[in-house]
Amino acid sequence: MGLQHLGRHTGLKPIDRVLRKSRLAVLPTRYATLLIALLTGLVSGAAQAQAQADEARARKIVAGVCFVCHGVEGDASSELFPRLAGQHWAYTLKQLDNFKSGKRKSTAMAPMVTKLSAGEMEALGRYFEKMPVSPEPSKEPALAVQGRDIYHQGNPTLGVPACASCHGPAALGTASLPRLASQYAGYIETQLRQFNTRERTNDNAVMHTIASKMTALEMAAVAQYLAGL
Amino acid sequence: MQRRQLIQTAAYGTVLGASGLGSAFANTSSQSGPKVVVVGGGYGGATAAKYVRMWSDQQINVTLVEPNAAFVSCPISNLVLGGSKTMADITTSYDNLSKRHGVTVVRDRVTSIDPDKRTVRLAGGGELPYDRLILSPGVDFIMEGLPGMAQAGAQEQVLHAWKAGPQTVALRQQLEAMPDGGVYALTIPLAPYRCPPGPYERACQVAHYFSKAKPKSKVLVLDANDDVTSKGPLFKKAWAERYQGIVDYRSKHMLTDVDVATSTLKFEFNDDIKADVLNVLPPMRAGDIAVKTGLATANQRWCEIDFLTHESKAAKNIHVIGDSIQVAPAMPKSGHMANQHGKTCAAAVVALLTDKQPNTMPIYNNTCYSFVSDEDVVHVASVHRYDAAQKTMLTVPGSGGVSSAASELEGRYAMAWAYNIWADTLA
Repeated sequence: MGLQHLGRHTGLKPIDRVLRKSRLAVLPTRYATLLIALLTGLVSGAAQAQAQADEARARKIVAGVCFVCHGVEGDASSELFPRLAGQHWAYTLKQLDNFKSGKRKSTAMAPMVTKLSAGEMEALGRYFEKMPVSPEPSKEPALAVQGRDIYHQGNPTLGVPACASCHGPAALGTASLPRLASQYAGYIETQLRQFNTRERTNDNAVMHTIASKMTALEMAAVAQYLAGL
Repeated sequence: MQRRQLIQTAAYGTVLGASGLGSAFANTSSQSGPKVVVVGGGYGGATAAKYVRMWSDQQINVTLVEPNAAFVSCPISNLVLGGSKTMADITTSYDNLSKRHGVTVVRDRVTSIDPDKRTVRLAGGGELPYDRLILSPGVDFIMEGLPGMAQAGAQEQVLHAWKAGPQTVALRQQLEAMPDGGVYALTIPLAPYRCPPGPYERACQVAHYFSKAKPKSKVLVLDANDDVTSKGPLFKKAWAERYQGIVDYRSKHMLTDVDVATSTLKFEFNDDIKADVLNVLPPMRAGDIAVKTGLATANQRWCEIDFLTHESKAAKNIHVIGDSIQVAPAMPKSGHMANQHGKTCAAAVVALLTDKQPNTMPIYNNTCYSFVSDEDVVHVASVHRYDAAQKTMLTVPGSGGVSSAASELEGRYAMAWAYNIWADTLA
């Protein structure tokens, strides 16, 4: 729809005459509002088209190979692999980028990310963040109760701070800290152990310090609690 | 976790033309033609789906039900364990089956079959009616004889990796995490099982990886059979010459239990064996859906069929192909063979649905390449022809053969074979 066309139907003066009469900076408010609305509409339309294209691209990449371990909807095929559904997009983006640069080591992931552009990594992050999360009841409820205490209060005797202080009371994480709610217990335990042995070094030193103070039982308990969230 | 989802085509009992896929396959939508449902999108099922469409000039409606989002090849997957290939190398989309051939691909799992009503029920809800059903469910594992594997978490720790997929990745991770000087133990069930030479190729691939990355480590092959079941002299030569001191092959080791907590294997007549990484190939049988439908009439394990049409001997209008069948003499359970079953069955189904006589003399071949390193390969080939007197497939005398020695040239043939059969099955 052309601007002149719009002008005729709304009873406004044709926009070109308005523009000839006054510079853009001093446009009467109602015209300026109309212009902004039109431009915003165009921009948001373009942004929406871009988002759809990104999502289609992400879906294609996921169906190409990610699904084998992480599932088409990011709910993972087994506890050996992380559930990506609901994970903050920026965190997924960072991990993919770290696999590519080698900061985070994984011979399984490294060849998967070599051809991904930064835009594709972001699209994948946003795709998985939108996927529905389906928590399952804890397999070991008694252990999960202990895990709840550790998560929210830490272990002051051993100097383990409360997980909730960074990962949030509902374990939903932030852009720089992972969402842990509904993550597979087996996966969380493996990561905690890897921080402990410094096999995983791309995320901040804080986790190394914390994991080195946690007992195996505490790790299992926290993992059970988080899996059921 | 399994959600019903349609992929590639939006049409599922609705009009395909209306979904914007163009008019090329508008006739799939008519729903007026006969209906074939194919269960399982492996080498057998994907081939059958494509060829029913092609050989009926797109006049027969074909719906393929497969839970995975893409095809992951078992052949070549041992190279992912060896480290020379990645999962992306062995994964192929189902897109062409729908786009080029008008197959309706439904990402779901079949939970039950009603042979009288001629319907299949899907895990995601809903039913699909069929005139003829082609069942290609592959193998499932008989875990009953291994009590330790029933413990919580056991099957996530002790892997089979005998269906290419997440377990392939996970087993590779276990091998990488194993310290140098560790032991990887692979157990092989009594034949018949999927892919006779596969376990011995796997031993070579893991040994190849160890020889480069952790040379003090060992590969222990514990075989329930009396001897190597396929390409024996060639594998033994590879172990002796290429992987001396790494591969230790022991026959007549019948696994009776697994103690997951102590990573120990227990045998019928032999001493317990403890290893760092356990890779247990449990005994196998026809895919669960075939067993549940009462088609596994041979020993409750395999499905007996009429080799002219692949129609089940237990249920009319149900055809079984691939690893699930009770094989003919000297017929291996292989991807290549499943592809051949797919075509034989597709031709017969098209004939039966158009009131024609199915071929009375099917003939097909098997080719199997095994990588003894990341480059060098050996092969075995055979030709199988229907014998009207014995009503089974018999190998043609003098056909086929086996490599005299491993070579890099055969390595190139092997990858050419893989690209060609993926194209034949899926493109």
